Amino acid sequence: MARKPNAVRKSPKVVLQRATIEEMIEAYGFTPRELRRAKAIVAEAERALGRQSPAAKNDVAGKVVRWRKRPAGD
Amino acid sequence: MITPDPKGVFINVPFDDRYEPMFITLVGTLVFLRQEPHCVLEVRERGDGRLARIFALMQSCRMSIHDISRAGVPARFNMPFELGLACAIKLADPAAYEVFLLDAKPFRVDRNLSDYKGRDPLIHGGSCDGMVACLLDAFEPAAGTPADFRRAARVLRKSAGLMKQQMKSPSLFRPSLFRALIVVAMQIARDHEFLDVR
Repeated sequence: MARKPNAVRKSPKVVLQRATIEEMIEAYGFTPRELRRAKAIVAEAERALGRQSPAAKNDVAGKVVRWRKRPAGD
Repeated sequence: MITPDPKGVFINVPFDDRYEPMFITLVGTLVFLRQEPHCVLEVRERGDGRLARIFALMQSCRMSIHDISRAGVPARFNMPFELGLACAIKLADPAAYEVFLLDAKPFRVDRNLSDYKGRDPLIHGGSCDGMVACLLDAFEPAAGTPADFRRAARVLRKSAGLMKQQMKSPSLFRPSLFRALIVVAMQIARDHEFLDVR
């Protein structure tokens, strides 16, 4: 039976080789300064993403609790 | 004769604001998959025309990825043109070069680019998560789950926003920011253990 053209011409999956961070640094020629700046940016982004979800949720929950505890007629 | 880098991937995508999150996800996921992305942003104008240097950059890579999802109105000729160059490299030595095609909608390539008919483009559906899924279809990941890749890409998109703020640049499509994007993606790959440390 003839195979479908798509099956014949589909690209195979690329199997990855072992790669170290040092090899990539060498390939692009990154400087220690660029690496330090990258580390600082990633840390800031992680903090920003971390603050958004759980902290925002707690804030909302806190407001609900405070509103319920408020004495009547206040 | 240029010796191709076995991990070099030439990326040929639209450079517009709407595509920016997809671009960040594409570049980042390639780094997380241990590849070395390159694009036309690295080819600086030196007055002798860019075409020869773009072609040389493509030849220095082992494969290329072309997103033709924006080849509509207004007409963009660069992406189909560079896809043609990549096909020429592939036809000259089919085993030495790989071409991947990305699109937002299935079967559209069969209509718009009938010469390319019969090959399966990777369909990302216009979403960043779709882009990650496409790349995981094309590359065998050495480490990490799809959720790890999506989370890492989210951190990279946030980092890219901060980089733009620091540079006071409305766009990420600048040579210096492309370089910074790679080094930041590499740092995220290290944190998420996608890359080995010697």
